[in-house]
Amino acid sequence: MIQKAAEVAKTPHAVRKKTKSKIEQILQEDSTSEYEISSEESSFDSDTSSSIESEDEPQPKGNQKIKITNTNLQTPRTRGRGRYTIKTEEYFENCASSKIQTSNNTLDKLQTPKLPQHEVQQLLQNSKLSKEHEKCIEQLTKINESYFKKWLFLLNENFNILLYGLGSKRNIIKKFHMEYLKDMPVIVVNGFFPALTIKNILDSIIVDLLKMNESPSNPTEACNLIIEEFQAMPETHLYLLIHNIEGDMLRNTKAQNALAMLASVRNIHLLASIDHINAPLIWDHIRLSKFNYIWFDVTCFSPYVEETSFEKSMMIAQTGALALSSLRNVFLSLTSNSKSIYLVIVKHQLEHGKNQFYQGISFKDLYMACRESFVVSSDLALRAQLTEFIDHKMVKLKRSVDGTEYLIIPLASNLLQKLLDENS
Amino acid sequence: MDEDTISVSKGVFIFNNNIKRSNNRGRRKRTFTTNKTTDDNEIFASNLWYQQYANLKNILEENIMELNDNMFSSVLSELVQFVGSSRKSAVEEIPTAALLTGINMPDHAAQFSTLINKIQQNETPHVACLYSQDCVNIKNMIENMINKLMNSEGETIDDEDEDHRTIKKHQMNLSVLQCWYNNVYGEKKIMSSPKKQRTNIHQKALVVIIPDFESFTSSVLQKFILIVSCYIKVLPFVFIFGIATSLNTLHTSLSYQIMSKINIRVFKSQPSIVYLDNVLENAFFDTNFPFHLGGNIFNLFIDLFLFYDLSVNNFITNVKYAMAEHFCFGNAMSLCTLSKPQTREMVENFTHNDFENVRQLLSFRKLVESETYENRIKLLTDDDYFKDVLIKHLRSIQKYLRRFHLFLKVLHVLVNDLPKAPLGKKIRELYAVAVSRDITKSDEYKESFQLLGFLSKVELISKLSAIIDILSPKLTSVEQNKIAEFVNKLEQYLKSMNDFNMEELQDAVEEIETEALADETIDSRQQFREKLLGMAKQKSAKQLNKYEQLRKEVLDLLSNAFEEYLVEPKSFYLHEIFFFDDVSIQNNIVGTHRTAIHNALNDPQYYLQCSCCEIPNSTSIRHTMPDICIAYKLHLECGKMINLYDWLQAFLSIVDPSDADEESDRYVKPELQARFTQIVTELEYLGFIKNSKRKADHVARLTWGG
Repeated sequence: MIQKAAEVAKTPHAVRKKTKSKIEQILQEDSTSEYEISSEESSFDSDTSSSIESEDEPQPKGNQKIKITNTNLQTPRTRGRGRYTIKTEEYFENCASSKIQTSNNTLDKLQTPKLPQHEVQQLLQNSKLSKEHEKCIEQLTKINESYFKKWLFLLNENFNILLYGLGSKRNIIKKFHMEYLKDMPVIVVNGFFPALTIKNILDSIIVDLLKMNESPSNPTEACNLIIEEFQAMPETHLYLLIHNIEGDMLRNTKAQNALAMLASVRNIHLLASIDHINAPLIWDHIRLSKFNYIWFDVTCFSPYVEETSFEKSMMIAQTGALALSSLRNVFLSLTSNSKSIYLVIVKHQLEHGKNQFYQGISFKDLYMACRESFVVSSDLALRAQLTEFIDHKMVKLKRSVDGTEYLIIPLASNLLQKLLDENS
Repeated sequence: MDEDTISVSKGVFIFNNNIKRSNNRGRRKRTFTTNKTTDDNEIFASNLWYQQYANLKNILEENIMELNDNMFSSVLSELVQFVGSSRKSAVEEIPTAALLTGINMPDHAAQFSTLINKIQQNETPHVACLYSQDCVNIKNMIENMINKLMNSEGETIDDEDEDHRTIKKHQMNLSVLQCWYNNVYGEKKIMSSPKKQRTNIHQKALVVIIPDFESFTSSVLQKFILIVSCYIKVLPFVFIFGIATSLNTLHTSLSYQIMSKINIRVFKSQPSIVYLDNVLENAFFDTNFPFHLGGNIFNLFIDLFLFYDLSVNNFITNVKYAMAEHFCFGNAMSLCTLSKPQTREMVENFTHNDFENVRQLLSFRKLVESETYENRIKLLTDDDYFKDVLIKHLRSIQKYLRRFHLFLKVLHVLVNDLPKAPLGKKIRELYAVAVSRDITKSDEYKESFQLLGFLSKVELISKLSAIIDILSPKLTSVEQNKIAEFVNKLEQYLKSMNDFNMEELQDAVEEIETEALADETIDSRQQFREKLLGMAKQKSAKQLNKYEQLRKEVLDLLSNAFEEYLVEPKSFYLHEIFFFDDVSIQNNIVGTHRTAIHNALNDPQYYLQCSCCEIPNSTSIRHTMPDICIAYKLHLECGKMINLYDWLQAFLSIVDPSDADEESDRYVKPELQARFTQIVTELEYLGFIKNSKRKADHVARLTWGG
């Protein structure tokens, strides 16, 4: 075991080489006698891979444990502290000119004003970086990956890790997961996912991971339950990998409080990344000290492909294909009466929707229209139908200032037109 | 697995690798052994350096735990007393303690948990600690409180009737609590049957602690206080509010009507800096703790403490992180110990690799340079020879460290109360100077000794005896001959100083002066001044009087000792093993998120180290830069609003300058447009721009400046 371990490289090549040349230099200054650095040195050079040794004996827990022996975790030091100070005068310069002069050009002047998402992605696959940059980024990635062992060490020492820097950090986190946490219980959270809730995360820990039947609805209680469970099994370690912990749906205090509570547990380890420039503002002192972050700069310039794939950008043509198809599916399952009611709302919205202050169809108008076409007989029946629409989020109910209820469909008119064309 | 973690329908992905829940759960008490959890980093456990690290970490944690218990004692015992005495007499208002805790919120958890323990031990088992996050509305708050109060009972009550356990949470209200309370303590008159001992138990207070008063919604609190005050006659409530800012918050957040229901007494806890000094002196400047922070890093941590959060907890975590970084260097660091046998044992077990690791230390180079030629080669190649050298040097550092701390304390006694305290009042300030440079050569040190030269006899005697008190307990250990000698000398001086009669001296001085002045007649003011000046010069040139003589000798003795023992650690070879001074970890403690993004966008070469993107100043753009940098730099040139079309054209003119005539404005290569589209999305994602509804195809800038 020791023999084997001895062959393992300890220091990154660059550092060793530097030291070696330094020592050589010192010696050459003194005399010309030949001096050789111990022969093993050269054999190390080729072997810079990590040294994970999975234990062969079956573990009683069923979890394979990785052991890293005889290694040190020095990492190359490449970048110093950056220099960046906010210049306060610039704020006033920026705000002083109240009138902003921009040209009246619009994207419509282009042949293809906006590209749809899939086309953008297809086109981007063809574009490549310059050779030199590719090499540089590869180098950068290599440096970033050299932190892996240290991360593992720090995570196990009850610190949590926060990655920052320009570029998508999905790949590096994924690689860390694959290389070091393959056999550990891991939860990967996509913070940028637009429909994520803290409840999802807690539920998946409680129900899917701990295989418990019921999950408390209150996040704090759920956290307490998880904490209790994990304190009861100190030999199990859970790794929580969160891409974009500052994602839209995790920004609220409730979510951050819950995450902070989890992160402060001894055997729950958190590795998260942030991208938004104001991300650190979501933590106050108490939460920060619970999170107990060690920050790592892993700038890698990789494009945010997955993170931005949930189409919401202004440069991207909003096809709304997803919304339309889901609407279509619900619509098809409706009774013919409900369908007619829905089409009344659609038609009304198409006719009047161009008005900037369109509030929707009022309940009374709808009722009258429906009575005329014999689809409902009573106020109550219509309400029952509407409840179903609202539950499926096909319609939004708004109450105006004077108390009238207005119904509006939260979809663009071109999509509604399409739906109408298909169903008439 | 590659595509597994991206999906349009869910955002959480589980990799459940045979996780097993412990079977023996249930309603059992928490009996987790701490031993098991402290040593849980099994992955690295086989490394020598890790063993030493874990060892030291445990020592540190134990020390701090011990300190925590003693730390808050004074204010806590007052509080406990308050809880005990508050209900002695009948009250109209709820007795309330307002504890001014200070803004170091992360530390308060320790403080309040000690408080709860103390109250439970000494006064009453019924304590409920309510955090704002659990009490969003009044219903939650009451339920929480009652739940905690009813389940926090200690061993004092027999579990005769378990029926309160069956009460569901939503059923908990104050009348339930009242029933329960009466059930537990009973009415004294009715419960006179001799087999139940409850008559002896006097009614115990129900303590409600609110540690983060400021975070509560004031309406919830107001309702809570009103409701509780209705039960004041039957349920003996006592409140403790933890207030981080100032007492004013209490007055602003509670109305007069509410304030009249509570009877506030204010308690102040110690400022956290006192706590920090205590921790430092007892846990870090301990002569038995081998890990040391270097001057720069120590100053960094102190600055973070003083100017950032005032949190001792965070300070300790920072030190722990520094320790982790320190030991990460490799097995060389396993030598960081103060015990001699352990050092030898470690070195004996070293492999060739471990020696190589030691050779990587920076000061090893200096060590090599200082040797003769033959020894150099031996040092570099001969592990056995190096072993002896290593042990020799380690010993000398160990010896140095022991004396360093001792004499730092001595110096502290001497200089802490000097006027203006040139070296600082606290031992941490002395430490910061002493580990970063030769303290005895610093100007502050010289100034201090000048000031010490004016000390009166009484002051000097008290200082000397204090010094002897510090040094003498250490003399019991063997082979401290030099220090023993030193103490002996000091004692002699002290004795002769005590014997010295100051008044004799005084008379003699006056005599000389009057004599000299009476001697001649003085004609003018000018002459008188000259005369005095002359006398002053004469006097300083003249033989010092007896006391001054003595004082000078004592100070010389001390100064020599300091010069010998308080040298800077860098003068030792291999000092890196004991001192950690890598300030670059600052980036890991306080992330520079904005800086990193700014640098990457403004000057990609800073990260990429490529030859193509070199820029003369920060505003210039090169077409070789990554797309996002180009777009970002173009957007910096705009005001609050950016026209997407113009932005796109500017982008194209840099990326693809070949066809820039009017005609081609309308046709954009789809590939380039896709690239631009992606970049705009990314910049929006990063928070630099957002969609603006004020003008078609415009985005608003969210930042200003570069």
